[in-house]
Amino acid sequence: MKKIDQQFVVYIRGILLIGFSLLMFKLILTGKIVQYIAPKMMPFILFSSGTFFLLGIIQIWRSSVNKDLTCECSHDHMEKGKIRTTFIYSLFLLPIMSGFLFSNHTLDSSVAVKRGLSFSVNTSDNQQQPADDEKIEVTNSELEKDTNDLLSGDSDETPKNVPTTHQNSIAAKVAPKGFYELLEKKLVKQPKISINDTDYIPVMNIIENNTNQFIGKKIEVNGFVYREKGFKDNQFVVARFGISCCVADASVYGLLSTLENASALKKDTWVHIKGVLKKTTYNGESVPYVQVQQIESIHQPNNPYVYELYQGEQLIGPGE
Amino acid sequence: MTTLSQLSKDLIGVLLLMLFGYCFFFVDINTNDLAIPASLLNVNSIFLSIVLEAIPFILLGVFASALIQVFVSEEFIQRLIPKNPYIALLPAVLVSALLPVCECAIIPVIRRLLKKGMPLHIGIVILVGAPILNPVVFAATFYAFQSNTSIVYSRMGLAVVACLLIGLSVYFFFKNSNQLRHVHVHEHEEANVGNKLKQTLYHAGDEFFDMGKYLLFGALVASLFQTFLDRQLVTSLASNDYTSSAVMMGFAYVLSLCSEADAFVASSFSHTFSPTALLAFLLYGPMMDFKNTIMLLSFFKKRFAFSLIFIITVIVYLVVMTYGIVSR
Repeated sequence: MKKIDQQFVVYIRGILLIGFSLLMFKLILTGKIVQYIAPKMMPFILFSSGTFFLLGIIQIWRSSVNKDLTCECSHDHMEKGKIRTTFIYSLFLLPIMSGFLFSNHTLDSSVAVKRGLSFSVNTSDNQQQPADDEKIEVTNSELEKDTNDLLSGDSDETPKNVPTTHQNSIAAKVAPKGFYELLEKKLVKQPKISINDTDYIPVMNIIENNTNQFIGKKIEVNGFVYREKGFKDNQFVVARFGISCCVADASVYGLLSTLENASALKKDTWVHIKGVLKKTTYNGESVPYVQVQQIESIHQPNNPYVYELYQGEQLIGPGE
Repeated sequence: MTTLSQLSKDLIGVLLLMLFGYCFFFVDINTNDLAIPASLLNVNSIFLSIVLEAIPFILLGVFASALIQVFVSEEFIQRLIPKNPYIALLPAVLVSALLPVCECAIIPVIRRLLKKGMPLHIGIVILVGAPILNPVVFAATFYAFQSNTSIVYSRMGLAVVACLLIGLSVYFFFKNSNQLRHVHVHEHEEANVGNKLKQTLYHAGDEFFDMGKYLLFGALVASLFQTFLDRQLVTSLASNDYTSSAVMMGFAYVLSLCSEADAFVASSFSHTFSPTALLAFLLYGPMMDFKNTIMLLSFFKKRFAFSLIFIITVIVYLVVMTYGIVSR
């Protein structure tokens, strides 16, 4: 009797492995996989899906061959007790079934509220330089001047005096800074910035780190409506969930926005806003905000999440 | 009677397969008609994402472990590790720095190595070190803290110190005793390659379920915390370095994030918490979290598993506090 149980367990394991494999395969085929994990993890998921299928077949085959069951260590792999065994294997069934049935769901603002808006990695301009850099005081005032010049003057000219000196000293050590710098230069020149999904996080970081350089620019962005406690009636955030590896590490990115009667906007509705970038203080920190001029509601995008653009040891630019 | 129960068991299997097949081919993944509360769906999304994220790495770990089981001999390991238990700590730290594996993958590997006769404290050093001291985590931390690279170097440096201290403590308290649950030293009498391959694949399947049940349970609890824990609460609990570091360690514990991703979460706290508290989060999370605890409890004797958790917690806290005082 015991032997049959063991055989049955191996058999069920094989079937569960195939179930996992089918689920992963379907998520890959339908593209829903990016609602769980970042696209850069895709090769790993493909590998698991294939391996699980193979292992599943092997387990089922093994359950039909009696002598192979007495693998020399199978005793330390088997669970004790019928109820416990049933419970454990139901636990494996749970993600398979819920994955098949509920994969259309994406995180909503109730999760965002619990996490709080992350106002980028580094909020103030000062933080960007290493604290022990002696040039800070000098360069900071230069930076103010330069940005003012830049804002008032012609934006076509390459900003030759913009803080390259101290940033280069970081760039010497940090390879990915190159991408950020290039993107930043490009953005600073543009009178109008339309934030797309691919480089959403880098663009947001740049805007939040160098808000002064972007004040007065026109800006366009998609996102869902989200509010934190203590927002004024005309305030809301056009937010996105940003993911580095999987949805569990999602953080909320977004631009604070102001609009008359903003309280009429329902949370979690997807909107496209156009407006002008300005600066305000929120919770004692200076943050950029968008004075909304035009707003329209849109359908939730196919992929509502945005991703951190780095892979392995290097930062990848969009489309690379 | 036996044939009847056999028949019903076969039937369960076939029904399950048909269910999966039906779901695969006919359930439209783009619809969601069932009236399930959104909060439950949030939990489900996070739960599945943790599971899907961890599965490939558990599989890799399981395969590595199966290969070690079949191809690496006890004598080889004995020869590789220096005789002096203190000197042996250094190559252990080096090995953890070279292995690009995270906490899910390392557990089956370490268990296998311990079974193969690796000294306990050396195994533990690699177990806690590998998830932090690795190139992928270094890179991720670097991007998350581009503005404050001292966090990155401190994370790596303090991790080395903490690993060595943890290794020493484990050696001091447990010497090289056997702390694994059900250990059987078994010989493989068959030697041909086909059989070895078959054994490897059997092992891989078995070990996945062995690890998987703990992973699933851990992921389920972690996803509940992820959905319902208000992060404002975490912020409000912390008033100074001593409490905020402790709070951040507790936070890291319940979140059970992958060490490659935790830096991004930590950076979202960078204006509410001091670097010391952030480092506590970044050091403790990869070494110990809810998901790990469950897996450790299944592989080690209970007393040892709890002692290890205690040792890691105390040492990480002390190391981080010392750093906080020195760097002030």
